[in-house]
Amino acid sequence: MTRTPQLPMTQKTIALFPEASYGAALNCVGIAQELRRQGARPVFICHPGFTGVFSEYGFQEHQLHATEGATASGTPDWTDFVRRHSDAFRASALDQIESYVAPTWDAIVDTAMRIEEPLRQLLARLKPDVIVVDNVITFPAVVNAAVPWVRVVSCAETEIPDAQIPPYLSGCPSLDRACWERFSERYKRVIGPIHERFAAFLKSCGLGPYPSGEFMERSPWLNLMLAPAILRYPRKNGLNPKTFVYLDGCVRTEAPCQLPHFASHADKALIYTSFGSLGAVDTELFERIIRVYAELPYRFLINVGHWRDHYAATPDNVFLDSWFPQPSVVRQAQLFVHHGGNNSFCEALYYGVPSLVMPYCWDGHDNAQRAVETGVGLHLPRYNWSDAELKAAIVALLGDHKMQARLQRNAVHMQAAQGTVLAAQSILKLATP
Amino acid sequence: MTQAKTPRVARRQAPTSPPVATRPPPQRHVDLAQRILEVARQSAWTTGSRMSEQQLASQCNVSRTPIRKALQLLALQGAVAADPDGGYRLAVDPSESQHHAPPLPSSEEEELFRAIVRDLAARRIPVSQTVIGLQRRYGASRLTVQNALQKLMEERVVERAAGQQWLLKPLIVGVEALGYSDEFRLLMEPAALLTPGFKVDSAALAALRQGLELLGRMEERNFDLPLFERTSVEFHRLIARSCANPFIEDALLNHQLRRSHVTPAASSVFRMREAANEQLHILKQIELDQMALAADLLRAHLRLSGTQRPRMLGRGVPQMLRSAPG
Repeated sequence: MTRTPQLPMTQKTIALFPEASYGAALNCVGIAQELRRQGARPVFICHPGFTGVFSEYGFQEHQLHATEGATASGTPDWTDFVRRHSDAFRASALDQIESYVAPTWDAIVDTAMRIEEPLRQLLARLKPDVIVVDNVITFPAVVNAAVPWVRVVSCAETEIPDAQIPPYLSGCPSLDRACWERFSERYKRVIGPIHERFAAFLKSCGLGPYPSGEFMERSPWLNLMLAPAILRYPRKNGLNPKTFVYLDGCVRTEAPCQLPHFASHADKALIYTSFGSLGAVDTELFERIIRVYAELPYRFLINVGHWRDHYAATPDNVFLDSWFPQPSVVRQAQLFVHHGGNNSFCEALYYGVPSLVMPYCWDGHDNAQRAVETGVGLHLPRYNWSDAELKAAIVALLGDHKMQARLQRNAVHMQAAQGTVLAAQSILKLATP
Repeated sequence: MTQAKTPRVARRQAPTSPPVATRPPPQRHVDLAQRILEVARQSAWTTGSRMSEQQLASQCNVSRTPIRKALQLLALQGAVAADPDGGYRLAVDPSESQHHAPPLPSSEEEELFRAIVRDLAARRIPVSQTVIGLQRRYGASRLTVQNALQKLMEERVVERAAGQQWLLKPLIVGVEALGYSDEFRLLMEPAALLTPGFKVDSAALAALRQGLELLGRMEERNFDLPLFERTSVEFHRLIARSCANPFIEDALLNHQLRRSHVTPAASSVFRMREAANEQLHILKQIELDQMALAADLLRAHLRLSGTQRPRMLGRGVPQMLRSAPG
């Protein structure tokens, strides 16, 4: 029953193709909402598991089905997944290269290869004026589609390498060159074979090869960098402003959130905790965190993903749910405890909220390090902490009025920058007249 | 400057500002306040009409003291205003739609009822309870707890168990339970529409349509979320109440009670506006007695509203790790 309005003949079709993660998906929703306001027709190319996510915001969805080698459609065995990866998530960024990063890149390369043909066919059918890709890997079908394409860099800024920036996914401090070298050497050695496999695939599609360790090329038309100024690294080789546009936040419009009732501490500071959907799998960790929260004089909202029914007894000052309209909640919070996902991190900054980053994989390590270096939050290991340390970090951030004032001033700047508007305008400039 | 005349007989001073409520009023005062508004409606009183305590006491068959308490409650809500000459005057038009009427304050029993339901939904209290246990947790009197339990029984949220125990029933909370609830609605509500003798209360339908049309005209930024929640609950109740089959009606109302006490799952404003429009289309077909079409539209509406969010995602782990190390 969704109404399909009569489209003007000149309306531009913008195909947005975010990767299968909430961060990228909702980041693209923010841009698409603005594209729609500016008169374009945004449509989404999505993984089957994302059906409904974009239509809920009023956008047309086109599912992408892999041609071969897809997994069975049954429910994945998450218990088994946690068992296999629980050790990896406890490891350092360096040790995760073998246990998590390499298998993940392997899976990403497989995905890119499997969806190449269906993606090519879909793009031929859609005939978009511009394609917007928010992912970490090149899809040759996009590059070869003969229309302008946009790369959205919604990971940490480290994803676009530079001689003065720590290696991507390393979590290394900005000044610790020894850490950089250790990580880079091991990363290239372990990832090398996967990179070569991908290079062969690119070659078969008439593309590449890419520099060592890189899986996605820069768009010759437009690259949107979700890297707020307060976090940005100084670069040795500055990015070309004609093709690189920095976005100070890219926050979607979300339904206003009515905060739930708390049975105690109803007038105290609100702390929101979310480790992303993958991070919610470890229910033991959440149980431990909840026990600590119960002893603190604040209110806590915790996104526990699909495992809400796992938690039997909830303290009076804690509220658990499987989903929150995050921007609306973060806006009302005084502290955001998260995993360093770039979308979460940017939303905290957008609303002037300090971050307590507890990373466990991917660019979360980079963002945790950067939060400390730029003075916008603190970093606590995901597992290796005592109750006293977690309490102390929360109390310290809530009591750091200087940081809060700085973040509030920065939030004014970020909101005034209207990242979604800038993104939409930049994309529409590429659409042929 | 002219001096105001001093009345020869001192009138009882009406409060110059609304009294400040320190704790919720008893249920009997709230009930009486509602009764007063009903009397005003039936008597066709309009804004500015004087509220005679004596007349109200007579019509409500109570003494003037509780009438005064109830009027204070209504003053707190802005439904009546203090008259400079003493007493109160009506400050609202009682014939207006209930969507616009100021809500009455909650009673102690109502507050406790809500607190128990909230804590049950949030898993803060165990399902097995005693009156003394509830008294201790909520600092309420035995009578208030008993009244709240009575209301919970009426709403079928609690039942008596062995000895002094009361057993709270599980509410529809969490993604899985909501999924089952959606399935239930999909099975039952279209069937309810198609039962022979389905008859809708035209006044209730008109009031609901008014709320839905209001939502349809709202901008995203000013969207009235509480109104959307109220109309959504009312939409499903209306279908249940209009069903001629008492067993289907009972099952639907029972299910709705379990669902309506829980904070609804968040949705985008776009989807909420679409849902309101879909409900309007369904109501229109019901009014036209096109029940088969209404049932089809209802199925589509329920399917669109019940879309599940992805179960598990993460950067770069789409197919879930077919190549993860074993």
